[in-house]
Amino acid sequence: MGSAFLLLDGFKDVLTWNGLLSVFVGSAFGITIGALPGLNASMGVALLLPLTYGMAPLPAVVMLLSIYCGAIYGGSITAILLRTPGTTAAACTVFDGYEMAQNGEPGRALSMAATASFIGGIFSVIVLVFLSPPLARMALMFGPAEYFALCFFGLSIITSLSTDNMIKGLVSAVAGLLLGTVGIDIVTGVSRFTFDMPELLNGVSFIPVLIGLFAVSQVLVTYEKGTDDLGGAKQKISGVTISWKDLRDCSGTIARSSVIGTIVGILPGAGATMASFISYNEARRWSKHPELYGKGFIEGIAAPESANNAATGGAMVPLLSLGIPGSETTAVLIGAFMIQGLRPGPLLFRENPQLIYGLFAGMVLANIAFFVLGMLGSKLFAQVTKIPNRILLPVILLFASIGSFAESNSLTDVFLMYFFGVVGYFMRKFEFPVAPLVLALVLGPMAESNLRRALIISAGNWSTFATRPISAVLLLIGFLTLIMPFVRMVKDRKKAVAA
Amino acid sequence: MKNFKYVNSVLGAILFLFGIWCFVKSGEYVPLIEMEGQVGANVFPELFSGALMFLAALMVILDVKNFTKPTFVSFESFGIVAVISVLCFVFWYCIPKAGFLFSACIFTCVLTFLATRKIRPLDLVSVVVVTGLIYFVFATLLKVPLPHGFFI
Repeated sequence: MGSAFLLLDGFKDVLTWNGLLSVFVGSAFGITIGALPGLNASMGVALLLPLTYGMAPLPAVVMLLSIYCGAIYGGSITAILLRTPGTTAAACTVFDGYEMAQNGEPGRALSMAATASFIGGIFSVIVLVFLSPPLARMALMFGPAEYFALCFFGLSIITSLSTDNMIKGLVSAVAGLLLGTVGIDIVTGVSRFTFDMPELLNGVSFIPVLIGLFAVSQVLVTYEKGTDDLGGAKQKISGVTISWKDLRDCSGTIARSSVIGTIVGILPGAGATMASFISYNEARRWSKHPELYGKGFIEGIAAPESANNAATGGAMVPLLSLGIPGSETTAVLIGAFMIQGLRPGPLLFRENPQLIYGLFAGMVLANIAFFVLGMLGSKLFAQVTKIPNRILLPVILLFASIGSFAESNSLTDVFLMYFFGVVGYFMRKFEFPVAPLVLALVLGPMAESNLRRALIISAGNWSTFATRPISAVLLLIGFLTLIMPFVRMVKDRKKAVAA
Repeated sequence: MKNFKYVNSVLGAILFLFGIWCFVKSGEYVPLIEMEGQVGANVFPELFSGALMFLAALMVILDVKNFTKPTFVSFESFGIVAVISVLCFVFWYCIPKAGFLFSACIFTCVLTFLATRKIRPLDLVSVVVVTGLIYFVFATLLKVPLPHGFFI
């Protein structure tokens, strides 16, 4: 109860003109940053950080938190409208969001993205308010073995992402895993597949690959189909917003994904991208219509969007409770705290509870702000699909180029983006799914480094993965997820033979 | 290559050869210092290349034995894709030489022209304005250091 009263006090502190202005300016800026490919939440927070030097601590940090929440939601806008995920966390939203937009329902897709993000975000703030200290302690129980098991669980989704053609899906995933080995090996310092190119020492950047595979390949396919009489959308725009029925149908998916997103977000280093992939797979597994996923199914937007925004609140748990930044953005946020003379951690809860609960209230308002802006803007954003392709396609390529360049100010990334655009085009032509490659590229390097760290810690004892309970459970679930589609295939074949 | 039946076999063979090359290359990444419990830098690339070779071989066998549905590919309109792809790489090459804004304006105008094969002045003006606006947002407001060349 104490926490609830303190939260009410926090609302009193934030509900001032200054506080509300910080929330709305931060959210609008965050949405814009998130929607621009290549710019992410951490860049947005870093960009506005100098503006907060002269501000009071509460509105300053609340503004940066609003950017964080807004940016994670904003990534879905371009993912849905242009097949170009604004942030990596929105990669999963492309699968169904773009299809819905092309089927004449961009408004419905955008509204669902805003609503699911809002619910996921609010859920994670509630968890943050009431459960952050014990959850932060639980996150510390995650060692390399548990992280490897979590990555393995994440990678096990590959088989269900490849049900149309299992072999090609697995080839795509293996290609992603191989791509993830490029660069300096962090355990031994050996350069792998770098061909003496210094640009490859840090590995293949994820953003250019993502933009190339999704956006550039789509542009090439659209040019091939012919563009003179086509607009962005195949059909007339209908369904400007979601209905209560949509919300009711997706309520289970949103609830499940919010829990997954919050838990994954709490784990340092895991993050919103992993949360969205895991929740997408779980949503598909639990759905009554798994066959509709990837074809413009609204649950396919609800799942990743609620999870990636739930991860924002989750990521704040170790930051505020233990002073440990679990992600790039929270690392920038810790800098903002320090500029204001604050040191996140258990002492901050004791010494400055008013500020902490003010921040919690600020996060609630930030979620409300991006929801309001997102819902109001969805009708406007949806008009993007009406822009004729002869204008839209060059602009997408331009955005893609700047987005790839902006991540690390490197023209090599722009080259990589176009290269993977061509690769993505051929993958689509030859019916290789792109999603497994993207997933493997995100999780592969993390899985490899944690497996090797775990083995070094255990002096080469492989049983460490089975004897640690969290690791064992995650590995078991991952293994079951991996073989389930094969079991289903065999069952279906037996049924067909019997019939 | 219109409606060639054994596309998957050809692809499988290419992927198999690529897997062999990766496997051989991975063998070079053996660390100089051994540590207890350490898995060498070569192990994972070798594992993944091995998996790629296995899957590629499986792909060929299943395709030849007609166990999987064949992939039919048509490259009838591939010409425009090839032109756009080459243009993208030319644009990338020109950015540091001519400057981002100048190259981008030319690039987007050519792409707009290729979309309709007609010169529509209004379209060209629109893309140039949008390009300028995007440049302004990124370079001026968001301080992304877009490359300058001979021009802006």
